[in-house]
Amino acid sequence: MARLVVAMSGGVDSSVAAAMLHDQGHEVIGIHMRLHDAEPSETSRPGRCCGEQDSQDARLVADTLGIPFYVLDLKQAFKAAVMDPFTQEYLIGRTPIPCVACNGVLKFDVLLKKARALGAEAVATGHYARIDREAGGLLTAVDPSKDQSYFLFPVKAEALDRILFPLGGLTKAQVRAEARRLGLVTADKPESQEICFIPDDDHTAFLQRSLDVSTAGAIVHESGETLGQHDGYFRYTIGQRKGLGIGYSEPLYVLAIDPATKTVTVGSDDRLHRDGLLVSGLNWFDRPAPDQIVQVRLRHRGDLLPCTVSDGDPARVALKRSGRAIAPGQAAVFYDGARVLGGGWIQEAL
Amino acid sequence: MSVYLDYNSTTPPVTGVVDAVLACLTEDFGNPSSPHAYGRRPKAVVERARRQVAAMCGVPADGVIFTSGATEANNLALKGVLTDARPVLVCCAVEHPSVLNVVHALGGRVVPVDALGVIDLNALEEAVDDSVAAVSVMIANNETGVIQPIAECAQIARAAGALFHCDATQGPGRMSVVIDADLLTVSGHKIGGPKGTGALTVRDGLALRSQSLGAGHERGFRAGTLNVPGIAGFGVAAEYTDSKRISPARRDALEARVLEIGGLVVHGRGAERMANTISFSVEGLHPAELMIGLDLEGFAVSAGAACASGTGQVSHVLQAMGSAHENAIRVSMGSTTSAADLEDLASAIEQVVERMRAV
Repeated sequence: MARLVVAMSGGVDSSVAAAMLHDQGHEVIGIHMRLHDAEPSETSRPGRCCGEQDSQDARLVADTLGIPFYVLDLKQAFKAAVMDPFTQEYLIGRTPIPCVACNGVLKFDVLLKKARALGAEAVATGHYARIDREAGGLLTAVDPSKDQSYFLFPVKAEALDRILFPLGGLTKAQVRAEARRLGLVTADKPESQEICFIPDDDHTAFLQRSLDVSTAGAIVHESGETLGQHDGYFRYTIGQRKGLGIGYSEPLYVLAIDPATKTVTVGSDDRLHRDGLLVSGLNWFDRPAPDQIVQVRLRHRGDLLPCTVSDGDPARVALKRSGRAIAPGQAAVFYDGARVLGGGWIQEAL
Repeated sequence: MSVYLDYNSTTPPVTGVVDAVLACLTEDFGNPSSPHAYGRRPKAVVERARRQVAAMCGVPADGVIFTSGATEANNLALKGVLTDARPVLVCCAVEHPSVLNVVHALGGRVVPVDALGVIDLNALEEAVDDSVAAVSVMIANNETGVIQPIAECAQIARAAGALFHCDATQGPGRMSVVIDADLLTVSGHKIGGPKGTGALTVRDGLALRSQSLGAGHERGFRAGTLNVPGIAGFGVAAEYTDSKRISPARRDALEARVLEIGGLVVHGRGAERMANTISFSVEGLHPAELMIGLDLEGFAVSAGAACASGTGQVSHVLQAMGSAHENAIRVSMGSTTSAADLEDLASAIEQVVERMRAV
């Protein structure tokens, strides 16, 4: 029996994680992280990760379980580690994935320290992933359709001893069934798929408000021909086809975004296929040898591509099967079967 | 259960309160405005309570207006006395938000406090002129326990022909609230009564404008069917306030122990303070997290005023005092708080601070 902090977002997953640990006899402390002031939204609805309603849902679950529950104000840390970099990444022409930074910094660094200050041995979350207690390291969830290991690559290896993922061996259906059995108010709550600090899932509107510089420029064909104008390059991501607003003899895709000239370069699909990439900010649980064939995932739910990874940071990743629409700013996460070897941030496709 | 040390936030019901409330939710459920048999009993209950509250405040019974709490009483007192000739309100910077926000909203004047949290009387004198309708100064601060020089404030107000209002919410049970004020606010749940009850006492003949229109309850000063169960409990609680005074010895013993912790500052230390309150901050530690740490060890204390905790808000009281700390831990005791409880608390504070500093 240990004192444990459970990060309770107000969703069904963390609710059940808390319930399971409580059931095992641990002294469970529920903590809801207040990460940002919810912006006024036209449609206030569930499925977002830290609105007022969500903290009240988490509070009710904690009360049902009979565990202490607190709301911690972590807005400053979240702004510095997640929100500001999110805007900054778009400004330099990349496509960020803020949930990864939130896990790496907020949940498994800031919150972990706070948990230890409260005398807790570990932090648990409702992530679908597993920790290999014997060999050490991170493993994918048993349910591949729910696996969230891609979002967890920046967690420090030494922190894994102080992290619990109680749901890693369960399916979503099992989690919901458990929540219903316990009568938790979150049992049938819709899944949150959005970025929690972006109202109405409209990141372009959010960026429009956040950016105080013009990002408008030209849309140029890879041949050099100017095809039109755009009113903000942050609206585009590598591989994007829809929303270009340009008629052309063949389907066009975004190939590159150049923040210096504010140019969005478009071209045919075959130019999106690349055989390598540069990855930096690497965090390893188990670094593969440079000649070892492992798998890499280049986007959430993306295919696992066989590859090798060079030494160093940044590392060159040589793909044995070409990857499509490799977007700088996304995570490249390396696997060996169910083992998560580590990951980093995509700098550029090669 | 943990040890309750948050009496400035609210208090457990004193003996007799629950029975009095319950009676008004069962046999005496009638409307006190009804002249028939069912209304007469609750009417008598309300009038008995009015005398009990009046006695606590040292005013005639017909000077007591029951409200939904101190916040409403403060709003009524301040908004209700403004006139065209005297359109300005003055208060001090460490007032409760239910005074401060009214004064801010109506464009009034806010008088600073010194580093100990005591109102600057010279500044008050300068702020009060013949445009001022009322001066509002609290009897003692809810966050720090610091007591204000009420008699001097009242004198300054009167000298300029202004009314004097005192928010005495924290007073009963800790000090006499029989003071020379034209308007006085008290609260039920801070003295062992139920939440949702409070009163404003009004000096005879004072022109006060009701802030709620409706039927003519409470002599036309406050419309709305009376909260009979709450008022009944409030009345009973008011009877007990004199016997509950606590001596400063326990607070001083606790203070001496926590002051041994390095980097710890006690707010308002050196000023005259309520004997039940100690407010402190620890260098480098967030009070909200210290509060959680103490809660987990079985001690219910506050990290700032209950109304603001958990919001990450900065204490306007500490800010007004020029403190480097944004917020504080507040320990506030009741009459049943034991010396052993406080010794255990001191040990827990030492342990929790040490653990937080080790991370």
